[in-house]
Amino acid sequence: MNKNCFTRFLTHPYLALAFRVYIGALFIYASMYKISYTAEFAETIASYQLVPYWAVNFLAVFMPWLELVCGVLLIVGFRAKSAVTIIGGMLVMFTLAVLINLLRDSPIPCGCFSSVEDPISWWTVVRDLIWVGMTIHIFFFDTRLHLENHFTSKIEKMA
Amino acid sequence: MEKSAPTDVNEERRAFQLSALFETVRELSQLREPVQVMETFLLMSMGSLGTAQAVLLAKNRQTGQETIIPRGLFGQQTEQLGSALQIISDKVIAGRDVLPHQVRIVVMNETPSDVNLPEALRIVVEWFVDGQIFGVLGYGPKVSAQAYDHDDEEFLLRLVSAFLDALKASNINETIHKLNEELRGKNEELSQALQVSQSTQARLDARYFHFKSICDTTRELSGNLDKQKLLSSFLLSVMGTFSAQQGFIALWDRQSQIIDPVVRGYNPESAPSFDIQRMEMLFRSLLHPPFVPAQGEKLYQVLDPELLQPLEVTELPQICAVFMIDENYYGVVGLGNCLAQQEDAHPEEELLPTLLQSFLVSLGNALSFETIEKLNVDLLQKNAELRQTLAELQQSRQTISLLESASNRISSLLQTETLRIKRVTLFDCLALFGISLLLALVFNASSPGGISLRPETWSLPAANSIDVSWARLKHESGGALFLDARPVEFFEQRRIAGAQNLPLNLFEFVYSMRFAMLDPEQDIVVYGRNISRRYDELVAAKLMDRGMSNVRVLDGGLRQWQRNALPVEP
Repeated sequence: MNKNCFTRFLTHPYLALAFRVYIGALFIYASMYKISYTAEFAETIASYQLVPYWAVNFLAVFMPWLELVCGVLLIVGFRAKSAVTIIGGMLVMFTLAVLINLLRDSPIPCGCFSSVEDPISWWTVVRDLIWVGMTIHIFFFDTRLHLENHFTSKIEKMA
Repeated sequence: MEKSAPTDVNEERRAFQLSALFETVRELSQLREPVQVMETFLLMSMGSLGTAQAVLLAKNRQTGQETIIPRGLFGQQTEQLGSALQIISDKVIAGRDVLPHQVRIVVMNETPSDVNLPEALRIVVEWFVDGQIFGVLGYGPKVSAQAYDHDDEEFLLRLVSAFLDALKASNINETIHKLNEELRGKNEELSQALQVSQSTQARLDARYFHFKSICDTTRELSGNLDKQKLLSSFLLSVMGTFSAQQGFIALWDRQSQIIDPVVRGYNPESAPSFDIQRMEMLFRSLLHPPFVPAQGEKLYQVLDPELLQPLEVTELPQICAVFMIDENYYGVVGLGNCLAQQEDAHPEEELLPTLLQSFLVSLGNALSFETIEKLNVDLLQKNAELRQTLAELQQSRQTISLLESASNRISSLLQTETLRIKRVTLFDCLALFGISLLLALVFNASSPGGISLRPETWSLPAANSIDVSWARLKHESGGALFLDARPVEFFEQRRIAGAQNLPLNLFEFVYSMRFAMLDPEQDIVVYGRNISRRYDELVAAKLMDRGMSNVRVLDGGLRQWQRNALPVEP
């Protein structure tokens, strides 16, 4: 009985909705600083020593906007699956980057929300993995309060 | 003399016999009926023979008549005569010794052998005219009591022969008379039959005329399906049949309140006119509401012309009749001024009903045809409407099927699109990337904090470089200043021994604090680059901008330095 309740709780769409709002807001928040301080974010990317030097500035310009767009779409529930997939992909990428730099013993800050942060640690990896887990949960169980559902349900009724 | 006396007696007797024979023949020839012949002959022969007793038995097998004439015999003598006649009759029937015109003297001067005959008889003669008429003749003794002699026998034979002739003649006469009577009767019957046949012929002629009239009328009416023509044709036909000079017929459609009149042979001023009120009055007087005769009653009636008074016609017709088709159609027909009307015949009682019957059938057909035509017109109209409706329906069906297929396509498209929306698609991902890229580029281009997408080093002049072996010599000799261009964290982590940190991000601050006083000619070796940043080239460029002329970038950087096992710290 308890197991069932636990399973139902874990797979509940409203839990997925909460994760969705959280992850979306997180990415919007993270993108705000990065969009405002592109140069600093470029340094952060460079500090990870994973991106070729000619692509660093491009990524610094492009990635915050991708985070913002995906975050907004995830919260409003429009093309949420694609958005959460991209967000999940970015989180996996960040986690791998942090992991690689942890293994390299690079003394760099995470740079996730600002340039002045504590250096990366295993906690950073764990945190990123939790976020990845949330995106997976959203991918599979999120069905409520989607903007596009409002239209698709009408279309389905018409069809 | 004695010889001559008997001779004279004999001659006298012969003369008497001849005279008697002659008298008998003459007498008998005048008689016509056999019975009279028999009676006369018997009496005359008795006289001639000189006897007072005689009997004549005769039988006619043709007529079955038996005649018994006794003379001078009484009582018991005559009782058995019938049996005697029967015996000879049996003999004739048996056909024994019987010849036509035969006379046979069976008894002469003796008592008859036949017990049925009277004993008093002395002569018995059997005679046969033919197989049909025969009999027995008997004579008693002579009054003179003398026996009969040969002369008497011959005389008797001649007498009987003459009797047979006379009897035969009388029989023939009688037969002729009977035949005449029968002929007369037949003639009368024939004349009666002729009269009957003549009257029958007259009746047949009348019937033939009726039949022909009916045939002609029926032929003329049949196939005529126009109501007006039918009325006119019927009127002409009945006027011809009854030799009428005037006639009218009117058909009243009670439902539509229309009267169709046809009038012939009347003067314009005396022609009958019909209106609905008068017609209604006439039929109300003849029928009772609802103006329909009971089942089985006739639909026509020959009327006394006086009954047409409600119509108020100027000249009442001689023959008139009313008729009806159903509860809606009533009619009246009248014929006047008939030329030849038989006194004893009542043609209107026989012929007119038959003609009317035929006319009513044709009129019924015509009205039915009219109704059918109306129905046909309605039906054709309905058919046209139905066809149009069908065409419209088909068109609508096509439109509906077209709309249905369009709706199905749209719905399947929508369903596909809906399903696609709920899935992760490459298109969506590329679209998100595209939108983000567009926004990023626009914002970066318009924002004061925007950065160049092109690496700075690509626009800088190529810096002088120094390989590790030269750099080692300069390091060992202390002739060059080794500057680490990386951020301070990396500098503190690992650096070339004796190198100083001039991080790119803090260049201005650190340079002004520590290296502003350097000799512009000072040899400077700058190192520090990774995959993401060319710190060494950028710092070298900035130093050269500050006037330092001997700035070189270490080829291979710290990694190459370490590979050559040159001193690093910490």
